[in-house]
Amino acid sequence: MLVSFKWLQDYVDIPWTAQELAERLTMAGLEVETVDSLDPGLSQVYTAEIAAVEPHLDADELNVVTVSLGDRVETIVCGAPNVRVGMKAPLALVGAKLPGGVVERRSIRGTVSGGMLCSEKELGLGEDASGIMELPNDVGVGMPLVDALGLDDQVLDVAIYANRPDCMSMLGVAREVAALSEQELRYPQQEFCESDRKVTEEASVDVEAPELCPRYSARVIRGIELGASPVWMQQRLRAAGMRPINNIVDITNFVMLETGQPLHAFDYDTLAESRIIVRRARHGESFTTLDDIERTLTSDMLMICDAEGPVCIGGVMGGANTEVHDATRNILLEAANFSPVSVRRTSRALGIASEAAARFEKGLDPQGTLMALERAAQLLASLAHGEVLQGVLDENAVACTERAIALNPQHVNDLLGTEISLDTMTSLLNRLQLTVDTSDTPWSVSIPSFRGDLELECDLIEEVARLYGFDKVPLEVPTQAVTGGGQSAKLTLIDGVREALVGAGLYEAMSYTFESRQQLIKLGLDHVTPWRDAIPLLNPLNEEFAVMRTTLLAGLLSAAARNANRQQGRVHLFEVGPVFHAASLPLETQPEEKEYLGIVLMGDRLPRYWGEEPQPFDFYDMKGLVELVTSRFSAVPEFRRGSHPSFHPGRQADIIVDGLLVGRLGEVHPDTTTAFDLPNRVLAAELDLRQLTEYPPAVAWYRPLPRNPAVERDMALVLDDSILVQDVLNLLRKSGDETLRKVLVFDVYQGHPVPDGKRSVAFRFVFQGDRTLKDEEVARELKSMYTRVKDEFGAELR
Amino acid sequence: MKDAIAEIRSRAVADIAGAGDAQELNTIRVRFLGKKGELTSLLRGMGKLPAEERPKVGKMVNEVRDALENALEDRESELQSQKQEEQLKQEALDISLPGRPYQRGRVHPVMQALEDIKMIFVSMGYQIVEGPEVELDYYNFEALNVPPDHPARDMQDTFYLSDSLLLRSQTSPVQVRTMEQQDPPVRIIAPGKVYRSDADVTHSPMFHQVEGLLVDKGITLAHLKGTLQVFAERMFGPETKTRFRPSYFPFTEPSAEVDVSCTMCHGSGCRVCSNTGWLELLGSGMVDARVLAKVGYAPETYSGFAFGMGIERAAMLKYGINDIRLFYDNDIRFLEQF
Repeated sequence: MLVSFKWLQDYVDIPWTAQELAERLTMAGLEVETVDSLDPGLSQVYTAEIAAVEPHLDADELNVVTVSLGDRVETIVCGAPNVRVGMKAPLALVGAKLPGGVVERRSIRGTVSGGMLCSEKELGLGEDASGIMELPNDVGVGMPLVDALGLDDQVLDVAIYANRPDCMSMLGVAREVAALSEQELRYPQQEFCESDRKVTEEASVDVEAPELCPRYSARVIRGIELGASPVWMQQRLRAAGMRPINNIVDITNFVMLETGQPLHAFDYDTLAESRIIVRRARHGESFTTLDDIERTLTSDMLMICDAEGPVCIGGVMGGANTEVHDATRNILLEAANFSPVSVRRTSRALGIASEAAARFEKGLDPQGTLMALERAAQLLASLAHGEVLQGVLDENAVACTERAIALNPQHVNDLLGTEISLDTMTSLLNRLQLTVDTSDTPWSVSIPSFRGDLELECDLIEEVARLYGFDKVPLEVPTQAVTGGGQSAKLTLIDGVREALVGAGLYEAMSYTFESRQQLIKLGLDHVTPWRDAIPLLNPLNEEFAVMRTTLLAGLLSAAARNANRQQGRVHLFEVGPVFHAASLPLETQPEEKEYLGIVLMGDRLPRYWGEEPQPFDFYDMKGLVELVTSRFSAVPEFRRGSHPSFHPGRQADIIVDGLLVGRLGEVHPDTTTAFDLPNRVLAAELDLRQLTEYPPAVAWYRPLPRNPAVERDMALVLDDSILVQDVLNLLRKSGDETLRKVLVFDVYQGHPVPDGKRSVAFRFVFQGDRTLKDEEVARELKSMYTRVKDEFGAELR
Repeated sequence: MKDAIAEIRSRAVADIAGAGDAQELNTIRVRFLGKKGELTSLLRGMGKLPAEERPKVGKMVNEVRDALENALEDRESELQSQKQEEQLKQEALDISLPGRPYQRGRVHPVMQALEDIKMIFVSMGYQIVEGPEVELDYYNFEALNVPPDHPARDMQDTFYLSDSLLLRSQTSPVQVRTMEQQDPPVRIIAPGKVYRSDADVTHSPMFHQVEGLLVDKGITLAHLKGTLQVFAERMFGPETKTRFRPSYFPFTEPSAEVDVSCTMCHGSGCRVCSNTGWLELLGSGMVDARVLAKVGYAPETYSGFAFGMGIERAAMLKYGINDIRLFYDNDIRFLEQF
């Protein structure tokens, strides 16, 4: 809410500067976000009096004007139609700063102009550009305009929390200021004379839906002289960020800003049978609001109607049919109280966010209608010469009950950790207009009707703390007994996986967990379960964030593409995060959130450097990383050829643990790289960490170091291309005796002299026993292993 | 004879000094000291000398032999060290060429900040707990004192997946889930992703929060202040100050917004803190009695504090990052800065 520092002083004396006030309010829970000067930055603009007006000799439409600044005179060339001798107007001298720029000395048709007489618009003070701005006649001549118009004001932008609708008004903020500064609150003038005509004879109000409208108060004012509202009111409205329109509309807005109670003025003469009926809308009923949009209503919306039909959506927006217009002379003025839930739902459903709705939906004080009505009537009578009819139409569905909350003063210090004295507590509460009966413990604190937010003892404790000052609450560290802190084994395992990959030089990425549906199409998964069943958001921010991700691949491939696009061709990223798999769609129960690991590799294995030819990342880099990850767990993975649509059919592997698929890795399918606009081959992997973390972490257990020398032997086998080396390795390992400690592949060769369709695979065997092994023992062992692989795979010694 | 010995000695010494490599030295050794060498030959001719001369001359020859042996040895090691010196000289590298690029991986800055936060609270005895990101409306709102149609729902523009399921807009539902499952005392932090329909340079539709909750007998606002002061000092440096401002959250009463002294200017005022000297860090408060009652904790016996902080915000303050979207862009050049 925008709060004018000057306007606020109508209601309370403020012993502080605007900046100090901002600080005080912030520290009391009304956060002041900015303090801005109201002055649009005018300098060298003065009040001036027109002394003489003579036609310009060389231009029919221009006048040469002599203006007085009191102690000197300037000659100005002016084209405004309203310029006349004796009028007072703002004069921007040469060098003056205006919102549109700096005024320069100019010669117009041979006459040098010493400045510019300005319109409201040129000064940034209003929209009127039809002529120069006419200043009130009692303005002193030669004054800086900023002083003359009271632009030396500051506007505080105050954030009002949802629980304090009472502060969404100048009086509400003033009430807080009064409590903080221990000053008296001044209420605005509400006295006026009513006419002899009785309102009850001119209009009637029936509330048929009291559950949505606890109170409806109205007055009729006749014979209004529609026109501009006075400068002081216009200034206040502008300071609050509202545009002045005419005195009727301005007064309703002004009183809403002043008291927090929204008002609505109906053109009395357009109300059929001068009746107001407050009822629910009929389902499907249509209604044109004053922004000329036709709205379709539902039966939970509250309508203000006349004898014929709707004239206003209660608390949300008025209708075009009864709007105040240029010919309006008589109005029915409404000050009502509406159900916050109903207003909130209606304004959401219709997409109307009005100032009135913003207040009603937070819950206003039903007792506030009369004060606002009386204040508006007073202003209409005094500023627009309205005849206020005798009496108020007041349908009051709720009885005003005094509320009191029990407060045990001991609880205040118990909860705050303070030693606030009882006297201080009562005095702080009193400053907030809360009266405290201390004759018994607990105390009884009576709550004024405008503080609907105060319900429980803890609410009162907060009020005491707020006014006492949070900064006076001491700093203490809890000394209550604790058990050790820490995290679950699962989280520790996942941290271990991240550490391992960071240790291997990868960068940790983080993608949005919702993504475009296009991503699944790009992956070729839009028809494949479970990925296609991505959960849609009902109200996504946009199409880019439409569904919950079912895989990490799309996010990582997009990241790789973005990097490539920015000349970062070397990408080595991993991400740990959830994917979302619904049991069924549309979603009925919470989906499974599975913690996945994704890895993407693209470009060179090492950054370019002078010592080595660059080598691109390949399948075996990715496999090595996956093995690094799985080595953290007691699980032993198997790799089998896979058939995932996003991957190269010949370069992908399913990762199997205990017969269960826990992930996959491979080179990304060329169709997929094209779809993601990736320039190069890309490797990707995805693992279900939730499944892996079911396995306990690999534990360290010391084995004595071997005392006897190891014997190493190599053997190169020629194998059909179709044979998987892993199968040969498995058989070799299985067929060796206990002295065989290790078998590893150290070379793979294809080409002459190895026949086509075959390759030579070189194995290294490490034997070690609890005594020194003899050559012939090792040779016998090797021979028997060779026989096994020869029989099984047709392997030949090379 | 003596003269002949002296002559051999001086000639051998000169030859040794002039030898250029080990092979040459060996030739010299053979020439003078070998079985048929000059000195050996001389010894053979000693029989011709008078008996009283022989010991003297023998001693002389032996002295010369020792001297030559030493000279050969010295020269050999001299040559060896010369050779090594030369080799080392040849082996000199351009030490200015860049080193081989060993790769340090990077932890995402959000996770680094989270790691710091976790460490601080774990050291104060907090357990780390988790909760679902797709949450029931009940836990995200109702159990936290925000019934349907409550205006506080506007404070967080929420993404819905169905009437009753939403993407949690805060980590606070984990408070409720934890309290439902466990009797007091409770000391937890709950980090995780949260979602709000908001996107600009300081708002992301997905971001991370850490929720903290402590419920026990006799917990006060002073404890909240003390705990968060300790946190701020450890997170942002020992000179960091905190400021508690009254605020409003439906599930805490009193509620406080916590500012820390600007990490840039340390409170004197700068562009980062809009000249206020303060940066908004987190929301906190004393757990509302209504929330405690809802999970079956007796508000007369137990009290507690809770806080929730945006991790991106903390990371932005800590590393001087000015656009939250960078965290999810995964630009290698961004990630490698942390």
